[in-house]
Order: sequence, then C-alpha cells, then structure tokens
Amino acid sequence: MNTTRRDLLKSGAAVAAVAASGAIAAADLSLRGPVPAALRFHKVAYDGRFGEARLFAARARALGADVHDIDGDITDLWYEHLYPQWKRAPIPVAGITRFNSLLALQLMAGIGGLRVIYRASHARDRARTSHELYGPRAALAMIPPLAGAPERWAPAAAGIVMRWRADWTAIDRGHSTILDADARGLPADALISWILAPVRQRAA
Amino acid sequence: VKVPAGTEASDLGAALGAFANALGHEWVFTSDADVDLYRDAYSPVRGTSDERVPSAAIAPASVEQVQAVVRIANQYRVPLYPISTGRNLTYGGSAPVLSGSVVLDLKRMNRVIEVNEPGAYCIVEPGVSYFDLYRHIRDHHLKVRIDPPDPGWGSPVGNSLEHGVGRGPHRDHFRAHCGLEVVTGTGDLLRTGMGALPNSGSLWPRFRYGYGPYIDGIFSSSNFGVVTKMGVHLLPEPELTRVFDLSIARYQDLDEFVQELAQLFDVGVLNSISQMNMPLLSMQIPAARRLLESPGGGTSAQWNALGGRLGLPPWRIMQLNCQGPAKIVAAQYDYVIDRMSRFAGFKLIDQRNYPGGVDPERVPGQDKCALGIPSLVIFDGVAMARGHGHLDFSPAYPMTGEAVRKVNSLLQQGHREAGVPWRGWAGGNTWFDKTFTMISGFQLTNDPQQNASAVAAFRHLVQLLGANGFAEYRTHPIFQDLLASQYSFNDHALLRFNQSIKDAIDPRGVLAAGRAGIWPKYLRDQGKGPA
Repeated sequence: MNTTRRDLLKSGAAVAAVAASGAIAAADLSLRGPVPAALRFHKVAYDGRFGEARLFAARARALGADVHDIDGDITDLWYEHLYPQWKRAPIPVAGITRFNSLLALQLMAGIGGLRVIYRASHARDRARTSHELYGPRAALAMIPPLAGAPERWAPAAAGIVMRWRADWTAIDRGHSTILDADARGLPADALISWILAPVRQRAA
Repeated sequence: VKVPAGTEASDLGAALGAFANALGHEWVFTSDADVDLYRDAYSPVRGTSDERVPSAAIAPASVEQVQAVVRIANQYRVPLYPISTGRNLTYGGSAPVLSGSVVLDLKRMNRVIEVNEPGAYCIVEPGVSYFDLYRHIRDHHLKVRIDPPDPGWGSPVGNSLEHGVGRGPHRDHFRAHCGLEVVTGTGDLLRTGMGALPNSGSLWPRFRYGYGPYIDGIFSSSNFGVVTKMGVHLLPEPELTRVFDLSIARYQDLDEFVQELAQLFDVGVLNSISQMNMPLLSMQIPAARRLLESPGGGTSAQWNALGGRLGLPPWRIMQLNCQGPAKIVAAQYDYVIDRMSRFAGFKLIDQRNYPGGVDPERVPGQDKCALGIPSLVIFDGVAMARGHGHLDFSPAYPMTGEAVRKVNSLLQQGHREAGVPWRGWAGGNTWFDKTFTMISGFQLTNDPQQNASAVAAFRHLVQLLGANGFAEYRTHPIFQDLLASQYSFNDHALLRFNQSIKDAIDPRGVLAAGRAGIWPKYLRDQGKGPA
C-alpha cells in the first residue's frame, strides 16, 4: 500500500488550548443564504442510542447524506467503510457522536490523512443544551447560533454540517479555532457534531 | 521548535535538512499543526512545562531510509524517538520522553511480508496494524488467528515491544514474537535468532533462539534499536472457542480460588481469561465503601452478608476461554467447571460458543478480542468516560490471593496518603504467566490542579508499591525515571548495566533518549536520569 504524505499524519486529540467561540445560545436551524460548493461526505455517522443524534441523522439523510448508526462502536464504520476508502483517498466524513468515538476516529483518521476541521459540543445541563462551536473563523462568523429543544437544534446542527463549504478547511490558529477545542471540559454525556476532512494547510 | 537538551538549534536545523534530502521534503513534518499530532493525547501534564513534546517528525518508508536517518542523527547528535503506530495511550502515545526529539514515525513501513498458514506465523513491518493484519488474513482466506490487544488499533511490532497483551492463547505478545530485524544506534542492520543465518528461510520466524545469547529482550521497552521487521506466531483457526464467566460467593475463598485459577493456567486447561474482578469491592456502593474503609476492611462474614443482601459476588472471573478442537474444548470446559464447582456459591454466569470462522458481526464486543477480532468498542467504555483520557497505574504481582489483598491494601493506603479518592479494589488481569497485573486508573480532566493531584498521587504509588515489591512494568514517560529507580537491587545494577549497553551500542545516544530511564551518557552528564 502506498501511503501519501498526508496519510502519514496521524490526527490526535492532539490539540489543546483556549476556547475561542464561547457558548452560543440563540436560535436558528440552518445556514442562511446560498450554499457554494458544499463538502461531500462519504458517510455521516451518528450514535443511534441518543435521540438528538437520531434527529441529526434524520435531517442529514433528508439533505442527502449516507448516514451510519455506530451504536456506540465505531469499529464497523471505520474498518468496513472508512479505512478502505481512506486508503484510496482522504474523503470527508461527518457525524454526531460522543467525544470518545470522535477521539478514536481522529486518531485513526490520520491514516486517511484527515483532520477535524469543525467540532461543536452539545452539552445538556438540566433542560438546556449549550453549544460550543470550533472551526474556521470564516465559517463560525456565518453560522447562526444553535438553541432550543433537541427537535430544533439537532436538525440545525445537521444543517450546518451538510452545508459546510468546501473551502472551509483551514485549521491553523490564524484562521481557525479548532486547535483550541480540547481546552474546554466536556460532560460525559455531551454529544459532539464534527467534520473530518482533508485540510487545506500543508506542513513545511 | 523545541530544541532537545544537548543539541544545538543549528544542528537540529541541519539534520532536518538532511532528513528532507534523504526522505523527501514531504516526509519531514515541522509545522505546529503537524507536530501537534504527535503530542500525547492523554498527557496528564498537557500544556505545562513538564509535557514531553517533539520538535518534528519524519517518516521513512524503508529499512535503508531508517538507516540513513539514524546516521544523520548521529552526525548531528539529534535524538530520534521511534514509534510504530504510536497508539500506546495512557503510556505516552507517540510523544517522546525527551522533549525536542524528532519522532521517527514508521507507519509508512506497512508491509505484511508473509503470513504462513501451515506454519502459523507472520512477518510484519512496524507500520502494520492489527486491523491490517486481520484484513490481510481475511482477504486471503487464511485459517490463522491473530491475537489483538483491546483496542486493536496498534501494531503487532509496537505492542509486542511494549509488552502489550491480548486475550487469546498468545496473550503475552512479546513472548509470541519470533525474530527481529533491527537498525542499531549506529545505523547498522542486524537480525536476531535464525535471521542471522543466511538462507535460514522459514526458520527465522519459527525458532527464536538461534545460537549464542538471546538478545531480543533488550529491544523491548527500551531504546537500543529500531525494530524494522518482526516474526509473530499466530494461532491456527480454532474449531471452537468457548468463552464463559463465573463467580463464587464466599469472600474467604480468595486464596484457594486464585490458586485454582493459576493451576488451570499452568496445566494448559485454560487458554486465557480477561480478568478476575471484584464486583462487591470495586463498585461504588456506599455500604461497601464504608465496610472497605472501616478498621480492618471488614470481616469475611460481613462481606458475605453484604454480598448476599446486594446480590453481588465478591469474586468473579470474566471471559475465561478455551480454544481448539471442539472435543478438546469440551473436555477443558468440563474440567474447569468441575474444579470450580467445589467453591461455595459457584455460579456459571454465562457461556458463549463460537465456531471457527464465525461471522464477526455475531460476536459481541466484549468477546471480539479473545476471538482475534480487532475492535474499537472499548472507546465507548468507562476508560474514556469523560473524554479527557486517563492515567493508568500498572503494577505486576504474584497470582495469589495474598498478593491481591496486599496490593489493594497498598493502593488504599497510597490514595489516602496522597489525599485523592480511591476507586476501590482493582482486579487482577491474567495476561502473563503466574502473574496478575492491574490497571488502576486516574481520570484526567481539563482541570490542571486535579491532574496535578493525580500525578502526585501516581508518583507516591510508584514509590510505595515499588518499596513493597510490586512495581509497575510499564508507565507513562513522566514516571519512567522514577519507576526505573525502583528496580534498585545492588545499587541499581540493572540500570547501570542498561546504561553500559546504551553507551556501547548507541554511543551518540540518538535513539529514544530516556526511554525506561535509560539515558545516553551525554545527557546523564547533564543531570538526566533516575535519581
């Protein structure tokens, strides 16, 4: 098997630091305006054990995604679907899972040459869900805030992912907050919506 | 860029240029975003001055390229830190022991060189993962079984060299290896065992000793060479695998219960188990906690009474397994049940049977590992429940009831003295012959103070258990000097011997400086090393 340079880069939960976007608590369901060249996802993963994730998946499916229920275990998704694909080319993948699943996928995604370019945590605190978004600053500036009940925010979160512009792939600190996403604590039951994609930035 | 101690920045820069010439610029990683990927995702000291971070990473694709970069490292005295797939989370991941080291990432060396079905062995490069090997075997319809760890994302080479384990008959992975190819600290290339004999053919991955000293051990958990090929013994696909769980009801039967378990292993009736655990003592049950922390830790009668009320056994064994011809497995199983039935309150909790070639989809997550099916399901488990990693304290102790009590008593004492919460009794993992090992974890969070408390408590445990003869056998890089100092017989004769080897075969000290507490002389002269 030939390995490309980017393949070699293992992704890691490798990033820490400063939260940049802060909690977003207003309401809307999707990106506004026309959508130039959206990313195309090989799969959109969701953890079907959680109602919010099922709502997310339903919306993603309606928007054309090939959704995959991981049911708490990413093995099948990775081994049967992503790894063979990523050996050929670093195709973008998105999803909504718990942090644990994302971390493992991040680490495995390096073989496919992908990086987490967008990550939103959805943490429940009693009846309220707070949302923190990390990604390219250009994207964050255009994303309407998430809010409301799961029936409202989860489809909206899917809309954000499914309408993600193909040119929103920066990860460097000058253009993105994604490297700061791990600096904030997460409750154990928080869901994360995310995008893994080939990054625009290249190393030295 | 973090410049390693003992290296001039100009030399690091020159070496990186030479690496680029040798490997191609695209295989030398120096940007923050790229180097960030080689940090320890579970570091308990993340973001502090104690965190071990690389300066760069390089990725050769061949043995010749590994030799070339080692020679360049020698020329400029730039420390390299070899990794295979770098998945050893909780024990450092792909981060170096010495900050500023250049990670030597071997993932591009990912050839399955041979899988020999009749001989039940394979030869692999370090970048081959258990998933890769599993896929190769499936794709070629070979009737052999691998023995992955849990999770199964690492590599046979890296896992074996780090004394990793699985849950099948070959569970002690270093013991299951046979023959190494190694690039030395000077860039020379050697093969161990029969590999040193030209034209030895298939003897290399079959007969591990060859002639003369058996040196493979010095390349495990060490920094004496870069392993570029390894022979690994496989298991012929068993006709039947039976996995079962059992428990007994009386607290006071621990000693005999463990002795029985050990003997079942010693006579080869049990092929493997996952662990012995203690539902009543390890769970966060207030009444159990109170009893555990009462003077004397509770009498047998008290524990039995509490267990009876709660419906929880004191001792339980999970995932015992017998693998082989169906008739033999049936006899093994009958014998185990017969031996265990003499214990009061013996209960067979569950039993699962898997024919050879079973559809992986029909195997529940907890049994996949024992059946040679690599899995990532553990990532949904408690090990990462809060999403910030964990720090595992991993002592080894004799497979006896007395040692189980002693180690848990010391853990309780150590946590109390360190002022951190104790999670309760930890079970014994049966991954090595005649020995229990334990994973007693500290949960890491984004709270630096809490993590610092965990680190301080961990240090205390290393010393407390080490002083009582129960030292860890693997540990995170920030504790490796401290752990090495526990192995202090005869004025640290073992460490001094390791240092002599290091100085002799890696005289410029370019390979994995500080690994296992073994530092090259030029850094020992600067004060590095176990106190």
